[in-house]
Amino acid sequence: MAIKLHYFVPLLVIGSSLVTDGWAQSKSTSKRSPTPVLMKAQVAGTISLSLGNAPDGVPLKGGNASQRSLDLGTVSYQNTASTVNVGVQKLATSFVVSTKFGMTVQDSTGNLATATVLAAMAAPDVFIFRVDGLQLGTIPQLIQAQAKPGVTGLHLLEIEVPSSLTEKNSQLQNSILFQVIAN
Amino acid sequence: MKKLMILVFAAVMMSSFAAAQAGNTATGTLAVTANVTSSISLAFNTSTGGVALTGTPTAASLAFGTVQAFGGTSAPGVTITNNGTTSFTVSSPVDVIVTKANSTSANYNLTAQLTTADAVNTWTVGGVTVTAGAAAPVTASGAYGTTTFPVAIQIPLTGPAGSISNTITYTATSN
Repeated sequence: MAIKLHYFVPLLVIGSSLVTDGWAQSKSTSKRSPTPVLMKAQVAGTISLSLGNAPDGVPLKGGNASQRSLDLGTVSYQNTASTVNVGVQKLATSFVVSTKFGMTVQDSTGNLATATVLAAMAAPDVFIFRVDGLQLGTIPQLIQAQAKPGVTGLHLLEIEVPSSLTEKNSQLQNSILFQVIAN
Repeated sequence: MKKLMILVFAAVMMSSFAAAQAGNTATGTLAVTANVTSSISLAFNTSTGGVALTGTPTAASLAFGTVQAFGGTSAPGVTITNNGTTSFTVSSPVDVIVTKANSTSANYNLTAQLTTADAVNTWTVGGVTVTAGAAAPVTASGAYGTTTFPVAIQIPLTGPAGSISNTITYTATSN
């Protein structure tokens, strides 16, 4: 049961380096120019997701690139949409409102080859949300397996509105949560 | 002291993995809003036993063909009724389909109006006289779905022979 301290000390140094944003320093830092040591965590880099406008989509609102809002305006089964670049397709017992938006995976290091993009709804809804034809639920699901960093992909958002919904429960308000994982 | 070392080691390693993992994922949020409003639609359809409509469901045409008070043969779906010695009526059933969406409305109000005034003939929709002066109330509580409203023209025997043409505008409003 005795712990051999010399086994753990090297591991502890590595672990500590990772939480210092990937930089390691020697004890004599004050006497020398600091020499950065790039750790593996830093190589992996920081990736981010940017949501943007599609040329033929509704302009997104919100200053934070990863937290945007999309207002489709007033829509109805018969009178289509009041907002430019919002499509309405009539079905037998519902109608589908659609628009496009852009999404870019960004990698500050440039070392990331591809990333996986998942999407989910923030809350269950009576409306049916689809991204690129895939119906979304509250459980994240794959919408793009090989997203290349720096390349803006255009995605189709469709929302199916059942005709049976009435004025009392037909306010549409929900959020799509995207998650990007480095491959 | 040994236990403390183990705990410190474990805590440092766990936070290290968390920091490394955090660099490999990112999230984004797209808030979506829309205002869904109620709406209704009106369409025409050929009624069983009536004249076959042409055109589109929302801009249909009804052609009675050549009609006459006495004798002759009327086109399929056309009913000719003699009204004594004063006039005759040509008529055909027409299906009007009113559909609602995203609405709690129980029924609808239907009106009809001629585009051009007709001083000679009398036009009716569902038995209600329709003129160009004002929209005539065909029904105040129509049931959503398909309802047959006959279209008829009463032609006086004293009127001139020739072509009769007009356009009826139907307006359905949800109650």
